[in-house]
This record gives sequence, structure tokens and C-alpha cells, in this order.
Amino acid sequence: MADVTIDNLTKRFGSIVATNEISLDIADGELVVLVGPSGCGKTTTLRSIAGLETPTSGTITFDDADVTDRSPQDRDISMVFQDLALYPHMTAAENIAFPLHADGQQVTGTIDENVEEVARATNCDGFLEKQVSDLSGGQRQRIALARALVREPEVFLMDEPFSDLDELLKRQLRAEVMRIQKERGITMIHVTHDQEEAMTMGDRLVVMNDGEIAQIGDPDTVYSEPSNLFVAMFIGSPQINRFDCVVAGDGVLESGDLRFELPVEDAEALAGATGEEVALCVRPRHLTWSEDPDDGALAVPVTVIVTEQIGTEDIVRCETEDGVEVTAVVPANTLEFGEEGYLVFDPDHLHLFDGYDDSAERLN
Amino acid sequence: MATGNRALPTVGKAFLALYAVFAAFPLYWTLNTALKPLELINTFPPTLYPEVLNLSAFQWVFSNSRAVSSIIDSLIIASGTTILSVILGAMAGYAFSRHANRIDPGGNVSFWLLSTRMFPPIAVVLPMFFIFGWLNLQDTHLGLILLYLTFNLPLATWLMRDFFNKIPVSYEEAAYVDGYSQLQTFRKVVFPLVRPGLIATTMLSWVFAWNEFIFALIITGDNVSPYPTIIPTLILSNQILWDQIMAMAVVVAIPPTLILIAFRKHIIEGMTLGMAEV
Repeated sequence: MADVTIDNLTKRFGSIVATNEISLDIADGELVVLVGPSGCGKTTTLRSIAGLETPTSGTITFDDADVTDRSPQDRDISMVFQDLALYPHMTAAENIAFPLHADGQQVTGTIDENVEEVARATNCDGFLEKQVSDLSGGQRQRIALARALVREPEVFLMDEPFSDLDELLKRQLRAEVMRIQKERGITMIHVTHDQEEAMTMGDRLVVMNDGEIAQIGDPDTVYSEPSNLFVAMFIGSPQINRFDCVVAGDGVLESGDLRFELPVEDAEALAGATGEEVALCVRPRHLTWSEDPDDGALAVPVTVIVTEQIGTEDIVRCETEDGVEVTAVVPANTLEFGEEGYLVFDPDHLHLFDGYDDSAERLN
Repeated sequence: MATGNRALPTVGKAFLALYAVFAAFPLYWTLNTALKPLELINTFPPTLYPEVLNLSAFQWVFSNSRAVSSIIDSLIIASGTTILSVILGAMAGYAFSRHANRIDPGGNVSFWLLSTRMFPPIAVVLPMFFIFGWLNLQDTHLGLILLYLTFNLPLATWLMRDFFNKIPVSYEEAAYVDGYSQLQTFRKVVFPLVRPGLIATTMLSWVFAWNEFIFALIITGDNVSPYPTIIPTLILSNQILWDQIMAMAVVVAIPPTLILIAFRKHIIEGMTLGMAEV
């Protein structure tokens, strides 16, 4: 396995800029997830690493070898495609064996042994002789995975292979991929639009937006310290609450009729910024319900409009008098439609951003 | 309700049976006429089967040098034009399918190709006659092969483009990533999947060239004469040699029929590329 260095990668399709000066270091044996909404450039980045796209500028390096101009055949990579790209005219076993039949491929042991071994590791030894068209979605997924794992490539790439699966199967396969990745120490780059999948799988996340990297970090950092408003809004489910405010004075924010007095440490970040636009964000998990909050607590008066039960907790969607929606996560069955009260902010988990745009940077 | 459901297929089957008779009768009558002696063909009422089996018309088809060489000419021309149009059409179709935005922006080039099929061929018969005269291609196998190529190539290109379009690009990319060169990828992945399409295209090209009449009549003459140009010569001023015409028709219908039966599965597959499930 190799480490991967991407330096100032830019790819333009005509006038469209798919990726704009992306730089990224991926360590040997690391599982990095590229995550972002569709059209953010994550797939283009992956395809550039695979050699399926030629970058407009920038370089891609595996270990110390510059592979920017190498063809996909000469890069020693494996890739699982979004549509899996299993060959319908071959059986499952023939599909798995396919990479081993390529010219110049070194195979230790017989091809059959290799196929059987990887089939056991990916739990697809039960349907090796079937035609691809006779397999279920989950079985196809496993075959595609096995085909990519049958060799030991420098880099392992996955382009949203789980997007068509149902939730349970998705979780199961994710866990298996992570197990195999750790066992074999594979350098893996995984692309997904699903932020939950990214959070559960990645050693590190690369959050992308509009062809640029919005933030790189481990899942915990990206969740608890989003570096800009886009990342805050994109990562986390249910979505973070956001109040578009104006700085009204020392540590005081106003948003319509709402008034927030920030704790001292957050107030410092706003020193001298009176009149500026600031987005105040707080995760639904960091809100608590109160009928009668303490004086000086950071709270908004709301009415419950929807409650969604998710087991031990409820997601409650509330509305302020101005019609601003606020979401909170509360213990199950504590609130009902139409209840009025206050949502109190956890002062240790406030996020402040210097504006209302996606690119607005973190202040605290 | 239940009776209705059962009655409908019965009505349907009866209709299909009727249609089968309707479609098969001319074929039967061709054979029937070919096997009758000439003087019994025009009897009224006609007999539904040959009362006296007469093979002289078939003997004529297989022994008359003009008849035999016309069938051989047709075989050479149809096969030659088919091989060329399928090879060239497959290559062009692949290019149109995989590199459309480079060679065919807006789809104008491929549409122009198709439009040549919409043009009434009869309109160019006379110009073709003179052009082929200047090029000394009149009355040669090559002349007709090239002429039919101009009709078959656009069709083959369009069909093959569609067949290639049904094969996801990711299939090829997956093979590249696994270390296969473009040529190997084509051989191992693309060709097996496009084979039913190739067979269907081959069939259509061949049948067109085999059956074409007008250009064959205009361009060829003494040295080369495909079978469709021989049949009209059997209509003499004082009588029509129906038995020989029909025997000829039966014989020339055999090759396409055999090919169709042999490749029936592939031709049906050709419509779905055998992967409707994927």
C-alpha cells in the first residue's frame, strides 16, 4: 500500500471547474472519506486519482512516484464503481478472477485459490458460480468488493458503491469494508454524499463543496468544530440550527426579535464587530427543553410543531414566533404538538460564523 | 370476469392462427407453384397442391448457368458489403458512442448519417449510373459492394452506436483500472457483450444487400447480374415462366431463412443486449 499526495489538483470540463486547487495528503493504511453534495467534485477527485480523468493542472503522487500522467493500467489501483460494473456475461467467480488475468499481473498461488480466499473474506463464497444477473443487490456489492480486493493494489478507491442498498445492508457492508480495511492496512479513499456514512467510516473526512475542500479532519473535529458554515450545515443529523444574527453590542447578538447574550469566551471572538453579520449555530443535541429557564440563560421561546420518534429520543421541530424553525433532540415522549416553552442552548457548544454564506468562517 | 379472462386468450389465439395462415399462405403458394408443371399453373380453379410433382423448375435453377452465377454474384456482393459495413460501422458506432462530445457535438453528424437513409434512393439512381460509368465501376462486384455500403454503413453505424451505448462506460473503466489495455478490454468485455448486436446488424445489412433490386438492375449488366435482375428476364413476351420464377424465389429465400433460424436467439438478444436485468 502507498500514501497518496494530491497537490493543487484542478480539473475543468469546458467552463465548469470540477475541482479547484485541491491539496490533500493521505497516509498509508488510512481510510479517507470524500464527502459532499452532488457536484462538489468528490467523484472527479477520485477519478483523477484512478487516472480516469486527466487533471487540468496539479499533481498526484503515490509514495514518491508522480503518477499524474500515468494511465489507469499503470497505477496499480482497485476501484469499486458506483454502478459496480460487474460483467453480465461472466459468473461471479469469473468477475472476481478478472483482475488476475490481466497481463503482467503477479499471482501467488493459483487464481482459484485467490478467488476463494477473497470470497471467504467478503462472505460471497455461497454464490460464486451464479451469473451476475441472478444475484441480489447485496450479493453483487460483495462480488464487486471481492473483485477489487483480490489483488493487493497501492490504493483502493470506492465511488459511492453503497448508494443503492437498503439501510440495514448498507450498515452491514460498511462494517465489513472497515474490518477488511483495518485487517489488511489498506489505503482507502471512499466517496459518498451520505454524511452519516462518512462519519461512521472515515479515519478522516474531506468535506467538499463547489470543487473546493471545505474542511479536512477526523469525524469528531468536523462535527464539533466545523470550520465554516457549509460544513456545519452539511455534517450532522438532524441538521444544525442556525440563526442569522447581527452583532448588537458586546457579546450580544440579535436575530429579529431574538436576543442572545453570549458567554464570555464566545463574546471575545466578536469584540469590536458591532453591526456585522454573524451566524449562530447550535446542534439539536445541545438544546434542552425548559418551561421556565433561569435568568440569563441563552434560550429561545418556541412552540412544538412536529415530533418524530426515533426510539429512545424524539426529534422535535419547533417554531419561534417569527417562524424560524428550531430542531431539538429530547428524551422520548416528553413533548407534544402545540406545547410552548423554551429551548435552552448549551453554552459550551455554540458555533459562530462570520456571515451567512457557505464560506463564512468559524469565529470561536 | 373469470370467463372473460379465459375467453380473451382463445380469441387472441384464434386471431394469431388466422394471421399465421394469412402470412404463410403466399410462401406456400410460391412453393406450390414452383412444383407444378408450367401448363397446370394457370388452371382454374387452381389446385391447392401440385397433383403432379414437377422438379424441372428447380433443376433449371441449379443447372442453368445464368441462374447459378446470379446467385453466386448475389452471395459475393451481399457478403462483401456486409463484412465492410459491419466492420466499419462497428468502429464508427463505437466512436460515436464513446467520444460523442468530441466527434459529434449536438448529434448533428450522426443525424446527418441517418438522414442519408431517409433520402429516397430512386432519386439518385440516374446520377449513380453516370458516376459509376466514369469510375469504371459499372458491372463489377466492387461497384455494387460500394454502392450498398453507402446504404448499409449509416444503418450499421447507428445500430452499433446504440448497442455500444447500452454497455456502460464503467465496464471499460473497471477493466482499465484492473490492468487491461484498451484492445484487451474490447476483446474481453465489450466484444462479448456487443456480439448479439453485431449479429443483428450483420443480418440486417446482409438481407438489404441480398434483396436490393433497382440499383442492381441499373449498375450491373453482362458480367455481374445479381439474382433479382435475373427474375424479370423470365417474363417473356409470349409467356411468363411462373414455375422458374417461383423456384428461384424459393431457393433465394433459403439462405436468409437459415441464418434467421440459426441466430434467432442472438437477434432477440440483440434487442436487449441480453442484460435487461442489469
